[in-house]
Amino acid sequence: MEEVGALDDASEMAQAQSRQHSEQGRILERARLLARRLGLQADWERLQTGLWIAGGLLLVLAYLLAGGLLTRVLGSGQTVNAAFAFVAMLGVPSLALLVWVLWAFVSAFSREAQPWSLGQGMLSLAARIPGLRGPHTLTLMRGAHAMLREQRLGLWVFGAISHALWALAFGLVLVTLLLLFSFQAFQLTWETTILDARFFERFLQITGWLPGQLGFPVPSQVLVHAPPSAAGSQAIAWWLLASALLYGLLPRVVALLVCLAVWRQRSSRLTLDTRDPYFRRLVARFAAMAPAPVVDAEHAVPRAAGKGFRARAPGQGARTVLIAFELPDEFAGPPAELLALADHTHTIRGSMTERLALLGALAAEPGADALVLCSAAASPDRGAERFLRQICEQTASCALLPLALDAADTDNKPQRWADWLAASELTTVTFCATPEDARHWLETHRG
Amino acid sequence: MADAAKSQDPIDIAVVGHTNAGKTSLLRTLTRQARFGEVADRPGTTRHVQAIELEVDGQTLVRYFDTPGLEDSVALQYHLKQLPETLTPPQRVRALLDGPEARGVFEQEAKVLRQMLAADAAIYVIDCREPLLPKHRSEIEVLNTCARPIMPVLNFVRSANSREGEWREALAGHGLHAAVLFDAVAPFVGAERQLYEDLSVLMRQHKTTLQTVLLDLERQAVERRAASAQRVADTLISAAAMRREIAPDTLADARAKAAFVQTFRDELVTSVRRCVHDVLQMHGFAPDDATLDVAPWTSDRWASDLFNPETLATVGRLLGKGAAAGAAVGFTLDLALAGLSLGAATALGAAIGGALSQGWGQAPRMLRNKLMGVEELTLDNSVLVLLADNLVHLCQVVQARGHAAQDTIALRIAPSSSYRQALLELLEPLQQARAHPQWEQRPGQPGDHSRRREALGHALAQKINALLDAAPHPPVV
Repeated sequence: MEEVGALDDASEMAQAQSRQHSEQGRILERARLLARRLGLQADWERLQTGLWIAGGLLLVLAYLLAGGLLTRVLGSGQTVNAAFAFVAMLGVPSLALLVWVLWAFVSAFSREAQPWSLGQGMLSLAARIPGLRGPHTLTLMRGAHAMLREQRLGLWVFGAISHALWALAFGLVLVTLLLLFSFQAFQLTWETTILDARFFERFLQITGWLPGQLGFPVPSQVLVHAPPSAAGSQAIAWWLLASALLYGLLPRVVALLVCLAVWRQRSSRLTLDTRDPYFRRLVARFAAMAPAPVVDAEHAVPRAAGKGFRARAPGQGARTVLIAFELPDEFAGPPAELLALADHTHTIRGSMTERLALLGALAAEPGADALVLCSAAASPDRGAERFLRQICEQTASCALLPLALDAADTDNKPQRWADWLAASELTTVTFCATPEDARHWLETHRG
Repeated sequence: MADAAKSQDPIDIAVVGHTNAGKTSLLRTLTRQARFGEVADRPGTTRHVQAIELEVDGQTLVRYFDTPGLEDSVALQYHLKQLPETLTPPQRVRALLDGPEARGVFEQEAKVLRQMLAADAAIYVIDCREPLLPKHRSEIEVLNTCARPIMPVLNFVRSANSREGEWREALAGHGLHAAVLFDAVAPFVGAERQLYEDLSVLMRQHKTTLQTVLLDLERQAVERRAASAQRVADTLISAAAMRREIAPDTLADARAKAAFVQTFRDELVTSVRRCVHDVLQMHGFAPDDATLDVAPWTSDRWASDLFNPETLATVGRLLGKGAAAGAAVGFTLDLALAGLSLGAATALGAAIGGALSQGWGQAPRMLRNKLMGVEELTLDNSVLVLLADNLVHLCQVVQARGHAAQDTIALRIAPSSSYRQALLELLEPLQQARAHPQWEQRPGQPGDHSRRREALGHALAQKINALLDAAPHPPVV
């Protein structure tokens, strides 16, 4: 359906997401909701009405095939050959049943073959009944067909429908026969012009065996060309009725039960094809919609307001301090040009002891100008923020230089430090993008 | 087992780590939700704790908690040490959480610790490009204080600056011996499996549940693979079925002919683009996903390759002898038509060949066209091969969730490769489609779902599925 163009399904997706919890359930729910919106369900209901009407029409057809010929034969009012009545009643339906059984065998071994039966005819007839056609009827039909084919259900579903129709038709035939035999006098004989008497004997023997076993009265002998007698006709009539029941109705009922059983069994296993590209796409979309609730929300972090720089005591000379902070082991030391401009150099890797020692040293001689060197590849964090804040409290001014250990390295992101600094409370810290900037900063602060 | 899982609460796993270590990226990979959380190359992108559930059959089995980074671990550890020594480590953490600093300077860290204490286990994500510093040691120690099983995940191990050895040593020094290797940029095949297996070693009591998760993940992977093979098969059939009649006067006018050819190519490109989109969607990727090297597909670079005369000539040569290759080479001489076959004669030949195997349905149309001088444009086999290779490659990349092997097509279908053989075998079923123009799936029109079309699609999909194994895999370091 979506081949023609994607449907706007955002709200249906959301509803299905909340109502169902399994993949299959969600996708079916989405289909149901979309079907309701697009009027597919109304169409489906119309199609069902159509199916009933078509069923009725086909029932009449089946009845005519089975019973019509018989009533014509019987209705002539003259003497009637019992064997002829038998063939007229059972011939076409038996042939149809035989064809169906053959088809069923063939299609059990190949995917391609599909028997045409009354059931299939009914479905296509239902879709064509004027006045009941909705805009999506054909799509629905195609979908139903494809589904039945995919699941190899077609044979059994259509078979069940067709057997049900035939069985009903035979029921009607039986009733008709009963009525006719009850209230009309027929003269049933074994008349023939060219056939041998033994032929009828054999015929009666074979067809009468099963009814006889089940206790139905069967004519004891075949009296060819005998004048029609009331007793003889009665026996033949009972034999005909038994035949209609046993050879017409019974096989159909058995076949119907088999089809229904298979249908029930298969449809309980009916699931969506989870390997279908469309299915997988929907699954992925549902997965992406899974809610991600915030369980511990972000609060405005109460920032410890920096006390600001410590003013230089009067008479104190300008001193510069170089602090290498959290630099990796490979770090050989600050660039020589910067070292030359610094009065003191501290290299700390960041442990608490080192930090406290450094702060102690700075506090002992307050009012220095500090240049902090950090790794450009490292990610700025609040540990660094706390450290810088503490440095600021002990110094007169402070600058930060993210140092690239390996200039070619793509992991170096000095700009990340600049952005972070601008976003933090440490706006008073000067950012030096290059060692050149840092040298300039040191020179100005040395005065 | 299902009952046991049903009666259990989901396993809660806190995902922790230093800021910017790739916690959210890892979760995106694990849950296949390309849009989960916010990922940015900026410290502290995640500031709140977000839960994300892993469902199997509608049942939540695992719940992940994405936490903010542990940024100030040095001070935090120092603070924890200040607390009364009579307390056990987890009690100290609780004392800290109850104290004023949990809402003050350690607000962010408190969130992480709170989740750690509430969780069954933690996944500790490490950016192993970072040098090991005191702050990291503090981090490990603080996490250990919570006394929860911890599964370290070493992220970015494929980076040139990876310090995997250094980190492993440090972790082992803190009693964390197992570690899962991961790379958000170039994930490993099977890293996910290993993660769940290691987690079930860490949490023996949840072994069955984790096993269920693993089985479900595998089922889904198999299904996704089959589905993408099916999608590719349908696209290839549609491409092979493409057939456009070109009137004699259009053919005579060079400009009209060029426009016609361009339209034809554009239609193919549109159809392939939809396939690329669908395959990405099936695997839970957004087309602009940064963790995946799908740019060659999403940027339509493949489209220009598809009709590049040089590439086509290479492919044509590699396809070897045979009528199909002969036709391809013959027609690529006309550069304007590179990759396309034109001509009633070829088409008629193909139709007769096709008619012999598939019935005479196409022959009358061919005959009519022949008489009226109408010619037909179809795609060359070399284009189909290129297209198949391209899409198979895409499927592999999205399945490995990693980078593509940067081999050229010439290398991939080198004369000795089994991949080439498998690729060529796709052509045979595709020839069937050539005789059925109605099998082309055009946008805005319902597709053809005849039994034969479906059967061919399934058969081809199986071949492509097998091809996904035959093709050269992305490199595994």
